[in-house]
Amino acid sequence: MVTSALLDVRNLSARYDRVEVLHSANVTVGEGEFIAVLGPNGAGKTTLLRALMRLAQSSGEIVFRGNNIRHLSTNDRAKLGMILVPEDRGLFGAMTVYENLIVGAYTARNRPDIDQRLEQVFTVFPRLLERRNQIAHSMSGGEQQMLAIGRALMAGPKLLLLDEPSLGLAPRMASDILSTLGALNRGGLSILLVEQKAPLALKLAHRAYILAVGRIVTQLNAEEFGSHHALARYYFE
Amino acid sequence: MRSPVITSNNPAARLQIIFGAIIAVLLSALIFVGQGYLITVMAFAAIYGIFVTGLNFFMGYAGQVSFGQNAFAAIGGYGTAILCTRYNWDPSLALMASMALSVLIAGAVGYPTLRLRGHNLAMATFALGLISYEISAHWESMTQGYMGIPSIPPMGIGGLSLSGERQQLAALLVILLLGIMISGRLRQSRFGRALSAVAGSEDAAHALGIAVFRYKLSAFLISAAYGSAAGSLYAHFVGFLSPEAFGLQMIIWGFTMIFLGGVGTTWGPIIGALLVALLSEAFRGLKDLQDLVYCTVLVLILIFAPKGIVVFITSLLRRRREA
Repeated sequence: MVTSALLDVRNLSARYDRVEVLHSANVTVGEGEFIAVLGPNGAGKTTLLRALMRLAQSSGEIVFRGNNIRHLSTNDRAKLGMILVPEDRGLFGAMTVYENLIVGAYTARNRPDIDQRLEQVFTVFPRLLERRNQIAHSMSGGEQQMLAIGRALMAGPKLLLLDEPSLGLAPRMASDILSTLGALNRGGLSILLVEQKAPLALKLAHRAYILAVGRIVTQLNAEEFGSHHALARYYFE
Repeated sequence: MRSPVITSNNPAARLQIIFGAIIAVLLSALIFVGQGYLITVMAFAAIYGIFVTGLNFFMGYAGQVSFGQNAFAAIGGYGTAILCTRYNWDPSLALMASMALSVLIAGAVGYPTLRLRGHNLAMATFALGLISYEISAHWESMTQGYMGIPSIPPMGIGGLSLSGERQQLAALLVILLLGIMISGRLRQSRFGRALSAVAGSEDAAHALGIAVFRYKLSAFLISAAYGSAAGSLYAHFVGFLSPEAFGLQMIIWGFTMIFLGGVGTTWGPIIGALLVALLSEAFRGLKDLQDLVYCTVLVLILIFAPKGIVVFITSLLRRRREA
């Protein structure tokens, strides 16, 4: 199974300056899988995603779509289809919704591709079609998160990395966003989701990794989600 | 449902085009009716307009900071002055050769420094401006130091020379308009959107596949080319060059223009250049205190109208209409 994995991460350690905040993490994401990474604040979840994108310094092996991408730059990793929706959403606040989406399709070279992706994004998030001429930073938190995900979809992801998309959203909006991710996954998109809100994420994920103080402490399959005491123990420690 | 191919409908952009058209008409009218000093003032506005349109690529579109853009004006100015007075080059050829040199030097300086962020980059560019000033002041065998280089021929192509100030102003305006058109077209292109993305969030742009460093470097090279052209045109228009022409004052003026008019907009910097050129006439009596006035204006704008005077006035009008 590991050899056919979409993403295979071995012994990934990451640091900010000299402080190591992620220690020897092993993570795999199979084709079409929805993987959750859970853990409390400061466990290293964001760092894991940033290291995958080379937005944080790291060591270890990262194999993505059969390529060892350890030496690839951030933008080349994106070109291979590894697309991050960052924690702060990273929207281009002064641009309109439409412009944000178009920039998202930066790596797409021809117009029909871009139009097709626009159509897909507007089908997933009809709200973005209504708001297409609005300046991004003037929208509500939920709409901004839709835009962040929509923009990532414009990039034609093979693997979507999401950093706490529910953060700061009303419970209803948070669960709407996450069920949209579930639908995207059922449509074939592989997802690596980092979340603090475990119950929401576990409803959708096929497998979950629990991260605590920079280490992956356990890995759970969907059938273990309900019963596993380890989850509660590591999560609330 | 077939998704409509929508173009972004931004009211501020339309307003800018109207502003631009009004200014273009006014300036063209000036060529015919303007007299003596007014023509000189407008020529300076046009030269600075070219300078700040270039600076706007780097500081506005790409959202970076450079305190050293005067270095490229100095290379352009001295390049053209030396080539024309010593080696009898054709002015337009000298302008282009100096531009090429500026872009080369911008590449040599930008390649290592543009990997730096924030303060480091600003300091590196500041040093570049200071170094260029010191060279122009002290490499006397080449630049004739503070004595300056006199008798620089006016602009011209081949044997054709634009001797009258009116003709020169017309040529400057044509070059300025060309520069603005390039700037406007590039802004609306894939290249321009990628620059705006870099300005918006470097990490997010990078993670969407945009080669951030390459875009920053391109914006820096383009702004160096514009700056160099402005410097050359200045030398040809005034006919005399000394180090003060491209000193710290140029940076203060450039910043005031770009922020007064609206940083990151296509026409804003031009509006700023025009206003500052006219203001400089109003404040001529102040002499050495002029810089103090510009710095004060700059600080006030950054506090009260950070998006520039055009956006400031339109939002004031809108508020009044709604009140």
